[in-house]
Amino acid sequence: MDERLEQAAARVARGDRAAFRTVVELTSARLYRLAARIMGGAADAEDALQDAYLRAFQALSGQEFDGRASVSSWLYRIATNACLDALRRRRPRPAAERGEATIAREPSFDGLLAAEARAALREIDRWLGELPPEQRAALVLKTMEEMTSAEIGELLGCSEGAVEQLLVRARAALRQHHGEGS
Amino acid sequence: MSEPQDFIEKRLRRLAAATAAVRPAAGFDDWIVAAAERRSGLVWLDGLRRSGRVAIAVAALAAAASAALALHARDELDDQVLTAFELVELDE
Repeated sequence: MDERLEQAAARVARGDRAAFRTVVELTSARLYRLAARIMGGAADAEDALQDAYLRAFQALSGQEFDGRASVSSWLYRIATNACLDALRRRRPRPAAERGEATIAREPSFDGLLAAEARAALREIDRWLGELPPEQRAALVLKTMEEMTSAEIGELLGCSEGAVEQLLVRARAALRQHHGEGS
Repeated sequence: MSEPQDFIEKRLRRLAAATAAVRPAAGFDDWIVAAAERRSGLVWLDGLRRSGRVAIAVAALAAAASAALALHARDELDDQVLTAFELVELDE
């Protein structure tokens, strides 16, 4: 998959716009799941991911991708940053309203989501809603995407030690805000 | 690991498992590609608009250069005419 992705990205950089479809097809499932987990809902994930793919398309078309990282890692970083930007733009919501994004705006492309998955995404949003965006993203990347602290550091643009600090603070905040069973 | 930590890890693992199969419907890829195509169209138009502005600036510079050349040429012509008149007067 990675080789096909690298080739498709190279074709986009050479001006073959149609190759961008291949880039999307090879990566959208993983990135959609990542965005849905960080955002705690499918609707917000779709918006963040559209933003991420547009940034990627512009960067590839403008030959701004320097190839130092793999295309896959680079896209992961763009998607994570788009989610962080979206979380920062969110107005603080009372705990009772979190996880209810699907009521405000129905996601358009979640036809394959099982009821259990929808409920779990709402629970993520409710549960992690009080964490700062970086702590929330670090926790999701570590525990759900099973990435190492070094990999998370590359995505978030910070050191491995800083990632460990984010994780410690996130867990402490969860312990403080949520008792067992809440 | 303390009890609350255990609870946190268990809950995170459960949520990870429950969302493992999350993926978009087929139309999502088309939606993304269409958005990128719209954006590239806008970028193209923007480039055209910007290149239009460059063309106006180049045309303005060319007009200024033409005016300067015309003035210079007129001065040279005046000098030549005056020189010709002086020569005629001297001959007389």
